[in-house]
Amino acid sequence: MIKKPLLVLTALMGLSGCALSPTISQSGYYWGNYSHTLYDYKKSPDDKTRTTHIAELNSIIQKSKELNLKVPPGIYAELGMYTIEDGNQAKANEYFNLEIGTYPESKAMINQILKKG
Amino acid sequence: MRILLAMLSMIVIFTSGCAGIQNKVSKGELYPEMYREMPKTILVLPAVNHSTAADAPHLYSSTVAQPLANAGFYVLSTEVTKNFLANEGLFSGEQLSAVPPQKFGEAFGADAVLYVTIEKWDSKYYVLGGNVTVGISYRLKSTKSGSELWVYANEVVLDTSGDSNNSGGLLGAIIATAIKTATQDYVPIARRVNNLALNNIPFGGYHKLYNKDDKTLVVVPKDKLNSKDVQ
Repeated sequence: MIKKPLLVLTALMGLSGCALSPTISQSGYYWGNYSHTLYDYKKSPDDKTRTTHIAELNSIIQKSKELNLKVPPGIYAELGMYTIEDGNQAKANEYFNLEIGTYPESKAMINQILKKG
Repeated sequence: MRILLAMLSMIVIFTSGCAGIQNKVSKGELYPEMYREMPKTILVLPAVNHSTAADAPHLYSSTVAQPLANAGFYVLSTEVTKNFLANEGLFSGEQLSAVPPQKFGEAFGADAVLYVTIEKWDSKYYVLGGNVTVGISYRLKSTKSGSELWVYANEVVLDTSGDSNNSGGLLGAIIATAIKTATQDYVPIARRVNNLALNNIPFGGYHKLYNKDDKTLVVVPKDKLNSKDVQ
């Protein structure tokens, strides 16, 4: 008998949204450790921090799919940029197209980048 | 019965827990132009630096896209934006702040541009205490009209004073303060400033409160950076 109200309480706490379910944002995104791995990469840019950050981007994509969420804005595009740096233009274009597919409003911006990049 | 009471009080705590009680105005009154235009895509420019820390804009840039996307907008990764602008020969926030917002509409297809200025990114250390301050101001401008859609400024001061009751006595406290002040990371403080700011913005299309938050009361942002949130 005691368990049920507790369940309800937990559900209510989740609904009220004050950081009790920290992994998914109010716009429905899973960001994993994004800002931390990006910060580490920017603070000390080397192969290790870059690889860790790219792995985090891939993990965000994977996890978002598992959770049936949209991949957050900019994640595919950022992965595309690193993929260009690594010399794989074809794979990069796939990522940019995925960004546009997920967020059609990004089309103008992404196309500009591809033109100039 | 007791469980029920405990539950009720917890619910009350959680539903009221997000907002403090301060001098407040509705988002609709504060930012009518934002609701008229409601930009979908926002381009975040590299920050202008008014602080004395040369690396502040570089480190800050890792903190801003995520909370802005969480507020409901389409935001391109700041890394991608920075690289693109660099290809155009535009590197610093100072250079970019001279470019009219309309240009970014033409060049990027963005609905609005976010100009960020780092006002403070510094630490103060004195004999018996210390603190680390991050102050940021934000201006979101329409790429159609060029007008300001959303303006906000705030700062967070983190007290880094050592505990004078610790076992090391006064000298221990002074040393603890010096170490805490010198090693305090600015970025977590910058994240808190961003979160305060983006709680104040009218939410964008992907947020569940999109077009429903114009009556939401928010703390009136100060023109000057004198609104303190001391931890």
